Amino acid sequence: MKRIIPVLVVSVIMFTIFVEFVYSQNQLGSGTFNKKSISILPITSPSASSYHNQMKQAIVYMDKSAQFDYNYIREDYINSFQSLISKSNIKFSSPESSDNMVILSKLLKETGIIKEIIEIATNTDTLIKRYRNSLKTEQVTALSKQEISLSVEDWEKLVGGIYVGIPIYTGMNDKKEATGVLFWLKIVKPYDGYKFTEEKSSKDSNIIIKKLDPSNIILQKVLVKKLELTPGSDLSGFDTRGRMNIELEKSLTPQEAGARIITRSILSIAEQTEDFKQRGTIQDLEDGPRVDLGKKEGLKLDQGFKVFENTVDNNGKTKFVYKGFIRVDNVADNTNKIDAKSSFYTIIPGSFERGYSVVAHPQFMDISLKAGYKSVNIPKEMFSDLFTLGNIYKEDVTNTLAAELSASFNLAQLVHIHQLFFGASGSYGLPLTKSTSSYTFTPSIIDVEVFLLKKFWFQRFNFSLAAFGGTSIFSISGNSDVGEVKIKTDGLTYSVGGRASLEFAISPDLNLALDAGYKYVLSPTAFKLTIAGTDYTFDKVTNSTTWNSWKMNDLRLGGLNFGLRFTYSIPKL
Amino acid sequence: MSKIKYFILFAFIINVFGCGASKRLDSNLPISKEVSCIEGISSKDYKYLAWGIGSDNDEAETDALKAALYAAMVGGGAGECTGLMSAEERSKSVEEVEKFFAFENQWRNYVRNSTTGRIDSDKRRKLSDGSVKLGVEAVVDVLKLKEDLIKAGIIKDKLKWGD
Repeated sequence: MKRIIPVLVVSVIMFTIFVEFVYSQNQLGSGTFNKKSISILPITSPSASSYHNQMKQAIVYMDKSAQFDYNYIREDYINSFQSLISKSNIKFSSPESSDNMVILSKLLKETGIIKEIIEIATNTDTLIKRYRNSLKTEQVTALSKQEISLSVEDWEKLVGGIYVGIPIYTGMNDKKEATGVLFWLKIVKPYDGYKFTEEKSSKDSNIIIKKLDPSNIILQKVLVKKLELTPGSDLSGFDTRGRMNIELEKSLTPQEAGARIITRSILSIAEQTEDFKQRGTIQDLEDGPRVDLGKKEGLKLDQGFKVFENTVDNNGKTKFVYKGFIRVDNVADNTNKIDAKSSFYTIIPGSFERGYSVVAHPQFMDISLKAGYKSVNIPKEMFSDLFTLGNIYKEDVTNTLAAELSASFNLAQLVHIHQLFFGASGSYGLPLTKSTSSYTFTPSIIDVEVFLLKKFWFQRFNFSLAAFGGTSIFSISGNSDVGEVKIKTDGLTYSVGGRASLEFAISPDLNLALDAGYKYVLSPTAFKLTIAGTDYTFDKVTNSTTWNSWKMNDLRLGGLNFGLRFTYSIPKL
Repeated sequence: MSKIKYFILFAFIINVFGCGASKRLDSNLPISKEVSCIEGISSKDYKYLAWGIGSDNDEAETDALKAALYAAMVGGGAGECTGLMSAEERSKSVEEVEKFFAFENQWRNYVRNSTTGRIDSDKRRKLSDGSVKLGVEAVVDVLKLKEDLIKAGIIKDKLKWGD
């Protein structure tokens, strides 16, 4: 044991250094957070065309993310696009095909939808609103005094990117999943540069806005993804609008609900896409990092952000270098107060400086795997006279090795308490026995629990406390002279307990913890015995003499437990 | 004896390089001269995107402000904001310009950071030698600067001179 601990510590340190090295190689595209302009064009394949209306309605009822400005395309444009797609040679079975991109680009241009999208996305009043929101300088006063003409760079920054999302619903598969394809396209700068016309704002003649000429723009693929989604599964999250719609959705047929989930998936997939992640800059370091993001950008409590520094190497090449990981402590309301900054707490420190970039790192659920030891007490006399063997074990069984798998969700956005998790776990324990005979009776303990866990972070470490409750199932199985024997607790045996942990963040997604806890398990009151295919039931009251001779009152399924736990945070699938 | 020779040689090298280093450190002029004019504001101020270099953000910001002021005074910045000095005035006033930047409380009167300390992460770069390069939107009060330079006799009042 004395040798294992130093080896373990050194291994964790080496592994951490390795993970840090891997993360430091991460690169980040340049760019600051800007709302992106999004236009959604819901489409169905010919076989699912009767669900087109459900897709259009899903857009109306969809929870709107703060990362986008939603542009609503006229219905006649959408219908005309749908009609053309149905007649086109688009291959739904192989969405990645480059032919599909060519077809989509061609149809978007031919139907005039691209012109319409650009008109809306570069609408003068929208840009003025964005311009005023983006002002964090003395230009505010200058603006009221004299004419300002936006440069192409300013214009690009204000527009922030024009995106087109095309969710295509192709119907339900045998597993009752909604199937489809999602295309995300982006309007990018033409090789010979943007062409503009200039226009004075109708509301503020001091501002001249450049309007993009759509004739030579290029459509670029951001992502193409095949979708297989279970209808209704996205409504179980913390999305308030979603909860309101659960009842409504229950009344839909599976195909109709499928059309909706395919449409809505556009936002959850956007969260995972580099182009749409929130980005900001560390502006202050007093009492932890403070970043120029807030309510306006849809910041959420406990949301994780990776920190990067913009560096230039000897060849003049710029590179963003990973520096650490932080979480949102307090979301500033910057909707009207443009200089308001949100505070963060540090998980993985890295000598942060003002001017470092932060980029959202979406995490959905924590999955943990634990190996540990539990103390139990299984009397050696248990079931002793059943097989004329005497005691089935040489001595009372007191040690169990167990493996546990758990999943937990951070409730911070729901209850506004940092790092409060709700989860469920299941574990399988194998008590370490020494049999007295040639027969082997293998005992096992299965625990199923739900828990509430609160973490307190101190930079890279956290101390956590958990309370849990659940049920335990104890069983013994083996072969004897009378045939196959199975013995199991009859009914549910309830348990409650607590656990304290010391956890170390190896990376933003991977934590290693040492757990110690105590669990109290109610004593079983009845057992079901299956011997050579015949069932018997023994309980504490009816079979009290046997119960006492088997020392069943000494059976303890709870006790102290210790373990080593790896936790990995997974993004939304 | 040979040790003494090496010592003298070592002292000589230190002296030569030391003098060079102190000369650079002693210069009051901005390290960076990378400045581009954004716009003229109210015929009074010039707004520049000025890049400064320093060991940290604060030093880099100071250097950027100096660079903007230097561009407004001496010229050399990209764009339409022309410097106040003519070529002749520039060559005559090298020492005066050097002295002007020696007193921070003096030159700070003519320039300010329009982003009030806010940093744009796209405009902050760590260079390979460890120093920080920072882009600052600096506003120079050109009217006041011009008046004071005329009073000090560093530049001529071109309107009066031309009359």
